Amino acid sequence: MDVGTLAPSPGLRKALKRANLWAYLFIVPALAFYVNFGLRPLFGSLILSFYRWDGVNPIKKFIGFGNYAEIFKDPIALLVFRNTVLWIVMSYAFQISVALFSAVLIAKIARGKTFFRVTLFLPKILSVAIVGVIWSRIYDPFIGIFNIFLRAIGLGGIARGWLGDPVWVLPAVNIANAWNGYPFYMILYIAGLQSIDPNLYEAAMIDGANAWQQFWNVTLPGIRDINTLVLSLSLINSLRMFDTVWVMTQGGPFYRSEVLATHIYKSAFAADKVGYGAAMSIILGVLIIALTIIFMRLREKGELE
Amino acid sequence: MRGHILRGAISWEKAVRQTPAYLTLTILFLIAIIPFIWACLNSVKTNDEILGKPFSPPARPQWGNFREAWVGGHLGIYFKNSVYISVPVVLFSVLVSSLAGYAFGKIRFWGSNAVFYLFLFGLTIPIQSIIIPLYYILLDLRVLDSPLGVILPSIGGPFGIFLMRAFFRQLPGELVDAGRIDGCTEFGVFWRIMLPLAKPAMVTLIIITFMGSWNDYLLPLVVLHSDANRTIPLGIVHFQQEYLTDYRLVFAAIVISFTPVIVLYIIFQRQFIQGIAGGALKG
Repeated sequence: MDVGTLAPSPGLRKALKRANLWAYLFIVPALAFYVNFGLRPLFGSLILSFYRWDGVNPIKKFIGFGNYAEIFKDPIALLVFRNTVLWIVMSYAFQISVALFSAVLIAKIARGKTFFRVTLFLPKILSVAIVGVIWSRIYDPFIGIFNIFLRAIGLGGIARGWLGDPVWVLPAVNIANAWNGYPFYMILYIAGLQSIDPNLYEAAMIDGANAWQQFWNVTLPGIRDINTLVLSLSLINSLRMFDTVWVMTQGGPFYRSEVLATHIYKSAFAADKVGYGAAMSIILGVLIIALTIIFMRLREKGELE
Repeated sequence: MRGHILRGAISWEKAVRQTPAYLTLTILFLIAIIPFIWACLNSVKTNDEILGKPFSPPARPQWGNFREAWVGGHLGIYFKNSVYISVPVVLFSVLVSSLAGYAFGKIRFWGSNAVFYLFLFGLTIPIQSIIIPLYYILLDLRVLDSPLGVILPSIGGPFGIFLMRAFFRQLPGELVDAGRIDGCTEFGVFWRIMLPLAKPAMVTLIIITFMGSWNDYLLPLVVLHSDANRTIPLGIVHFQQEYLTDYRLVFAAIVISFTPVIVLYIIFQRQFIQGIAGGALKG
């Protein structure tokens, strides 16, 4: 923090002293909001997670780690963990791969870069609520274009009400989420690709490398830092996934699309199991906070190198 | 002459080699755009047409669908509510974050590192893990089911502080000192000298905060209960549950809700893309 390099004059020194006091005034509003609506409820979640409470009763019953023990015995909670892991994997498969692929293509083409960047980004500006409503219609068994498309390419046999199907509901919702989510990662990848020295590609071509070898030996190492960022952001966003699932299925049918955040919401606000929900939210919070700190460290290391 | 022909041949060859890339991108383009077109077409059709002819234009455009959705579906109210929440959130967030960002970026004060790390920690806290106690805090403040209940927890997230701090740091310190010597108060330096210079960072912050608030779902879902207070995202979901099989109205409502955002995007596309990506790269 450079506050001038010359030795400060007496007047400036006085001003700096006053600035010191002003600084506290400047951070007080931000700190007040952050403490009240960030740190305090986080601490509150931790406390609540040790109690059995229905949300109304004035008396909360202390049960230690009872809620945590219940979570690891609860078959629905285990299903929720399984779904969340599947969600992470599918997000990598449907979102990140498409994001990287489309970014590489946009970086490569000679003309129309801006056109494709702007139009492919379009779904990202919609609210997830609108995405969920549109895609619920796309999967609709009566009017949905997804089934129409399948029939058109001769796969009419597998057409179904996708969101009501216990097996296919999770991938179906994940694809809807990917439609809205991947452009964000695509833009990050494009930014990363721009920083690669074009001479490296020429050198690789002179060495006779084909497109795949170029991708593997020049592109991927060149975007390593962005890759770390994208993979970590996707992981964190998958862990905290709520709105797409909630809007499209509310976790159904039979909890087959229930993920951590929807389960937290239901436990606390619909099933009167506030302590249980709080314990689950602490598990989610610890996972995300730990992962974020690890990835921040990784990035700092990457930037130092 | 020979060189010219050679160069022409190479670029032609390049174009041919890029055909697969263009084809793939066109498919992605169609995937991005078809849901919008489908929704727009269906919004001016009758239910029979939506069921029977999914891709053909309507025999007669049913413009009345929009009015029915707007009035009968309360979309006008939801819009007003979204504006009443997003505008104060953006204004106060930018102010609060700029103030703190300036303090961290340009003033040396005791304890700044410790407080900064405290904010850094805040960047990692997901709303999902604080939403339950937050509900009870807002209950105690008697702001549940009111716009204030959504506004208060949305103001001044740690992210904005980092963005503004990073920007203020790279502005020359001499400007600040000059202002101080001229007898400006520290707030004067901030308000009259530094803040006007921070416009690019503020634009990024405004876009990110506005999009976040306008599209927010979980917090409004937990806080707002009555129909009169619903925001657009809550309203549109409620609307589709209400009018489940009245497809034309659901599509009209979808089109009404995405049109303003798309218009904004067409005008500010560069700022949108740079803002959203730049935020992630710097944050």
